[in-house]
Amino acid sequence: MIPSTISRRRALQVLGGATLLGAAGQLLSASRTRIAGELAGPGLDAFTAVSRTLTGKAALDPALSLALYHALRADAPDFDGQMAALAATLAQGKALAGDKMAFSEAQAPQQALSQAILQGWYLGVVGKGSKAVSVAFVDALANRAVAAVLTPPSYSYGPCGSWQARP
Amino acid sequence: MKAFLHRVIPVVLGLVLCASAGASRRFDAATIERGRYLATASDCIACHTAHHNGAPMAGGLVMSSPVGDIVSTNITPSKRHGIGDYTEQQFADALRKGIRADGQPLYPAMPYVSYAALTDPDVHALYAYFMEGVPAVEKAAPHTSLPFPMNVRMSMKVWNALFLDPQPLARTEGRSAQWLRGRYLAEGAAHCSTCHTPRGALMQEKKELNMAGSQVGQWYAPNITPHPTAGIGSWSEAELAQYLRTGRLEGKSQAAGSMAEAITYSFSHLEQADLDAIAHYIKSLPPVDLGETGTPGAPRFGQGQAGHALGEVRGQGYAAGMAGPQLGAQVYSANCASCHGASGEGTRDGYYPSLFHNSATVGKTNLIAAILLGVDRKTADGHVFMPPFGDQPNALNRLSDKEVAALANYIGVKFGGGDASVKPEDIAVIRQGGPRSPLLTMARVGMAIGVLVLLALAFTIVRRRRGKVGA
Amino acid sequence: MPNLKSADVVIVGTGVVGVAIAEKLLDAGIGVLMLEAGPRVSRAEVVENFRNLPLARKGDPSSCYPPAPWAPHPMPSLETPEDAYLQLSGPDKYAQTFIRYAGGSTWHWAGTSWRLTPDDMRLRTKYGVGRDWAFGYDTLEPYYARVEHLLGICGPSDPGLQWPPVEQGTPRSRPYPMPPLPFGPGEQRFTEVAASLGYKNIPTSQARNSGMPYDDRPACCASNNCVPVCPVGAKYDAATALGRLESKGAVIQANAVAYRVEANAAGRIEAVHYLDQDKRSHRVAGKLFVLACNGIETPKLLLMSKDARHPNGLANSSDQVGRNMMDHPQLTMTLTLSEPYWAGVGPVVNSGIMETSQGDFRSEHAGAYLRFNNFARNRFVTFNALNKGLVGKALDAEIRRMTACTADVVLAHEVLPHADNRLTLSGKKDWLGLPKPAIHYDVGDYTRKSAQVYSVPLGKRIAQAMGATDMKIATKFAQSKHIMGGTIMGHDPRDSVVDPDCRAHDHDNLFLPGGGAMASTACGNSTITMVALGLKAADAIVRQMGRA
Repeated sequence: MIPSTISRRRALQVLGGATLLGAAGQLLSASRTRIAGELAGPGLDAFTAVSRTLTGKAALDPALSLALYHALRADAPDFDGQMAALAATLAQGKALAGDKMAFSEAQAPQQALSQAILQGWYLGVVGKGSKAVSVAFVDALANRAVAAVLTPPSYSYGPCGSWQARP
Repeated sequence: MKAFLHRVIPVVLGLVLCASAGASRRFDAATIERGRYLATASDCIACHTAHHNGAPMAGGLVMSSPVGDIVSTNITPSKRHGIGDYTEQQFADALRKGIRADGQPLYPAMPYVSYAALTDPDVHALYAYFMEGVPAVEKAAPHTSLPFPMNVRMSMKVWNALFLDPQPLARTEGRSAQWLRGRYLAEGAAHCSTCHTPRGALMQEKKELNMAGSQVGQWYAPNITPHPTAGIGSWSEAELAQYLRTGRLEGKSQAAGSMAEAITYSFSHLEQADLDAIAHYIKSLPPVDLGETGTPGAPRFGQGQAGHALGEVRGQGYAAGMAGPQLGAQVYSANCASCHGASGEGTRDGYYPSLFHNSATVGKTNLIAAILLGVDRKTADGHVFMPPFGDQPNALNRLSDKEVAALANYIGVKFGGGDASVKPEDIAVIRQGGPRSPLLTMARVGMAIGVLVLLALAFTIVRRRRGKVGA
Repeated sequence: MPNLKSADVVIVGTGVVGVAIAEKLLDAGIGVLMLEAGPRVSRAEVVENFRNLPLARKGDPSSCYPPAPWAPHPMPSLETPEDAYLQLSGPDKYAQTFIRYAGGSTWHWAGTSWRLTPDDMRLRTKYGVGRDWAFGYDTLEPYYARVEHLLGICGPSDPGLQWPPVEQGTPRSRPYPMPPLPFGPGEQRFTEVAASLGYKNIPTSQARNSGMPYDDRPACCASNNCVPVCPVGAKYDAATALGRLESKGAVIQANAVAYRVEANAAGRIEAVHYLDQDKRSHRVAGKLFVLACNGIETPKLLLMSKDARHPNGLANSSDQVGRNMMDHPQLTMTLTLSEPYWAGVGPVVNSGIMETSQGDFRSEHAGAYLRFNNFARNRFVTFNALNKGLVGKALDAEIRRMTACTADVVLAHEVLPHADNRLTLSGKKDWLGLPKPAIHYDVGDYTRKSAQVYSVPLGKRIAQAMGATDMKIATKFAQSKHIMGGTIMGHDPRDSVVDPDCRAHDHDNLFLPGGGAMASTACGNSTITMVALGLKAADAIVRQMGRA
């Protein structure tokens, strides 16, 4: 008998999530492990912490975190410095009022940085225009947010008719 | 005059009887139907029908064997091109002794070694079906011509003398009717051992390792003994019966290649009681581990977990991904992930199977064959279809040996709990039809040595003679 | 035996029309050489190109098909005015996306296969506008049935849900080879709303394997990616046929840009000249020639082939080559809804209201067909959600809400042929030094009036019935990328380029099948009609070459 859809999918999500969280080191190839070694440190930790605050998620994909950090640093020379300033602002507790950005005019660069970080997590894209780099697709949070109902385009949903059910 | 009449009258009577027999049905509908069911259980149609709309039972299927290509024969009741002129005795001899009507032996690609178990009433029913239940097809199938010396069929008589057991099912005491029925079907009509039992140097089945797994052309027929890790010990009888009916056990395995064909044409049409009996018998076999797949002691089922390496390839560009160190991950993402999921998880409700917890990704051969040849399996549940990635006209993408090897290693390591030991040469072997047997070379070398020995002997004798004369 | 220098029949273009004709000819024992301007690219590469694209560019279907320098095709999201391939002028921009790869533009089509109706083919007689076709629906019907079985087009068996509608007296000669694809939740809701207003939202007749493998290709599994590429080959695209054509003996030469068709003094075509990727010229001879390059490249090639005897280009004694350019002008309504519709499960275009394309009003203005677009919405709405400054859980919730509760409904119109909607050779040159096409286009008052008095009011009524809380309707027509008309068909060689078999009036052994031959557009996507014309041409070619 085919097991219930919900329980199996949830089991896979938990399995996948646990795998990604717990086995990050095993997922990275030699080249990324080397980069991970170079990049690991307070900068990456600060980025991950700020990302958690902005996305409201306690658990973020460590491989994606690394890839975004790497790409954002390449895109902005003083990324770590800007990160530190943003972290400080967020720590004051007024910049995000009820899940909406409330930066003051003076904090415009930090707002822009927050937007760039969120764009990276949600759309998997870092940079703009011809310099835009795609870092993630399947794991982009815009896809994850609707994953209960939609599969990211170019990945199969299921057999004929399986898409008829109203969510 | 009397002697003449004694000879002529039986002939004339025989002719009259034959003519009238040809004009009316010899067999009743129930017998023909039983014969049809047995033919389904024996899966005659799978070998005796050419792919892509060949006429049923009319032969013409080219089967790649380790000693060369064997073409199946027309077994419709056509008198010119089929077996329409076979008597029931000749039919029984072909089926159970591997001897054609003209006295020549058949090659054991025809599993007469298994069909030797069929009872007389069942052979009779099969005869009825093939004489009156199958439409005659007036088209000759091509002849088989194996390379010398395999084309000398008479050598098969020696092989049969060594390896054909006319009573293959030993007498037993105290076994249930279900077990006996299961054995009769599994060892007889369904001829499981033809694929699943490893073979010796002369290509005979190794009965002591019954059902322990064997390479058959491009696919590996796995260990179906109840061994807990190497075999299907973790399956219940009900699961095995379900697998035979549908070709699929979610989270465990699915049938492809010749087994998919056997499910489509044979097992999925059998009665539930017969499937249960086969499962009951198979689960009673002695457990054997050949050490063929994966790490010794590691189970074939339940291996692997979800995961992806997209961080390695996303954003770089396809060409960079294909040229870089993550070729396997790139090939997987570009060719497989669309159906099997970015993390190998398959689709919701498992319509496209996950690649972990899937015995197809444990061990090398079947994974390579599935990639190159795809899967095509039709049951009452639907038509399962994975396109091929080899050289076929409908290949979704033509992958090279190097690409398939990288892909197989990626999948094997990530989802199959294995190592990365597949080489492009391994792919080439499967692509060209499977491993070749050394038997052909052995036979030719053996013959050459034999000739040389004879020549040496003759030379010595002649020299001795000359010596004697000269002395 | 065809080789790279000559063949019985030379077919320029390996798109769906060229491929359908090639297969018919090969099955009749005729040798075929096919020239393709662009490269042969694997599906795997295109799929990964799509996934690697930054999100903003995923919406442009040509983005994952970077063109080879020698075979440029339009790249709307990347082009600057200086390097644009199409030189467009006129009040409406004839912007197109077509793909110059082996397999052509069906790489990224949606698979929609609406037949024409009898009325669609008699606009002049019935409504006093446009042109009549050179034959009636009854002549085309058996070809439609053949196309449906060749490509694998699925559709309903209930005549009440079929197109053309039962009322026009058009029984199908053969059932569809596969049943229709089930509707996703948004489409089901849209169907209910349409019914409440008295309209039928019917299953799209589409070239997609529904519920079963067909043509040795797998069944649709709702990757929702038909545009820009089907990752599994469940949607028919011409690239899937190339392996089979080669196994039947076709010779396919990729990276071969035809630049001149050579005619002799008697007007018979003798050869095609092409440039390879090293800019070297090659000459290919044949007995009969088919130009199936698409509705822009075919007239462009004819115009480039002008010589002393044909100063206006080949096949152009009528001066109609490049004229009568047509498409399906469309307006998109983007709606925000009060209940979740969840577009994005299932194929991207799966249903449509076609009955609104028919009626007596066609003597006054164009008809329109409405379709609920079933693309997944999250990539469109996430930008807006981010721009609202949302973070954290509110951002997720907004993305979910907008993905579920926004929808695009497209109004696709018909257009009349007009001699001034015209393709010519511009003064600009491409990488090979060949002229870039220039197209002047004006959708015309017939279509504009439809938007004013018919289609947009209809769209608004439907949007209201859907419970839309916000409605944005495009004010300028976009093109549907269905290129039609540049080599128009007719009986009279003075005002048409090809005859009823798509044979050039001027050249006995030159065939120009495809969208360019269509005398009217109706509102439904043109591909099935193009291929039907291709098969009709193939039958004529087989007869002409004595192999019937």
